[in-house]
This record gives sequence, structure tokens and C-alpha cells, in this order.
Amino acid sequence: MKNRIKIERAILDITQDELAKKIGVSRQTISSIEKGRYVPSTVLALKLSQLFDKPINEFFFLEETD
Amino acid sequence: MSKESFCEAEGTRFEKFKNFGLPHSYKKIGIAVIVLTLLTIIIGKIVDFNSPELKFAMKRIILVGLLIIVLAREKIEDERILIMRGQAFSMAFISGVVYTLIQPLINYIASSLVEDNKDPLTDLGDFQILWFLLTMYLVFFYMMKKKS
Repeated sequence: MKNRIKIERAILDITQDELAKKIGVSRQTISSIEKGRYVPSTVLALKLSQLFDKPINEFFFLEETD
Repeated sequence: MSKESFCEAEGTRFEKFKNFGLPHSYKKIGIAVIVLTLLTIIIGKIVDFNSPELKFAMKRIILVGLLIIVLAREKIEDERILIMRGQAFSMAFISGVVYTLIQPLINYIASSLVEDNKDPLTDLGDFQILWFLLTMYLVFFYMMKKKS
């Protein structure tokens, strides 16, 4: 699964650490999500959606292999 | 107590047990317990004090130290950490079962190659199995944490 969390974070002009604190996870978790190594739960995806003020499918995309 | 409230109480107890974890600071306590126990064992060897009771107690204390480290939460215990814990537990369990099945055979083959009077097949002791399980869990968990 691809994502554009890094871009959305840049739009809000916040660091990984700030984003992590806002949604209650560690900075490493944000880094793993951005690199595509970790796919977050629905709860976390909804928290990101709330923060970015966008629907989930605007920053998470399924790939052909998914 | 009605059947429903009994089931509800059991469910709550199970949830508490499922989410059980020690505070992050306990990790240092666990490490200190292991280090102090190892130091006691080394000092015991130096002064030639080899009490079987002490050996028995030291082995158990090392296991308690490892268990404290395993149960201690991370600074931020989020969903990624919980998933890694689950994966590390399952990998440690599988490798523990394989180790328990294979190690006595390896010991037997090795002893039959080295010595003429072969040792009978002996099972692993509880300390060896538990030590292996807890150590493998920690190895897998920190490997996954470092890689992710």
C-alpha cells in the first residue's frame, strides 16, 4: 500500500515527532508508515484523516499487489 | 452472581490480563536483576562456593529478570509495538518448540561422536527451555524494532 503521509505532513508543516504526538504514536511508527513498512490500523488511519481533514483514500492507495 | 455478570467479570479479567504490562522503568530493574545475579554467580565461582540451592535460586532469578524485561512496556507502546510483540512471541514459541525437539538429538549425536560411552537421550530442563524462549523473544523483538 502506498501513501502520501509525508506530503500531507509537509502541507501542515509539522515534523514526524509532532505528528506522532498528535495521534499518540511513536516517531518511529510515523517513519515506518511513511516508508511503507507498516500499514496502520483503521483507528490510526481515521485519526490521520481527521488531522489532515481529508478522506483516508486521498492519502492511502492500494497497489496492484494488494 | 448471575451467569451474565460472571461472564462479564471473566471477560474484564481476561482483557486486563491480555493488556498486562509493566511500566517502562522496570526494564532497568530487569537488567539490574540479571547483572547482579550473574555477578553473584561469578563471585561464587571465584570463592569456590558451589551450593546447589544457590545455583537453583540464581537460575530462577535470571528467569524473573528476563520476564520483567519482556513484560516492561516501551516508552510509547503503540499499535506497531503491540504487533511486533505478537510476532516476536509467535516466532519465539515456534523456535522454542523446534529447539526442544531437536536439541536432545544434537546432544546425543555430538556425545556419541566425541565419547565412546554414549549418554542416553535426555530432555532439556525447564530452565533451559524458558531461558531460550525468553531470550529468543527479546532477540526477535529488538531485531524487528531495529529493522522497522
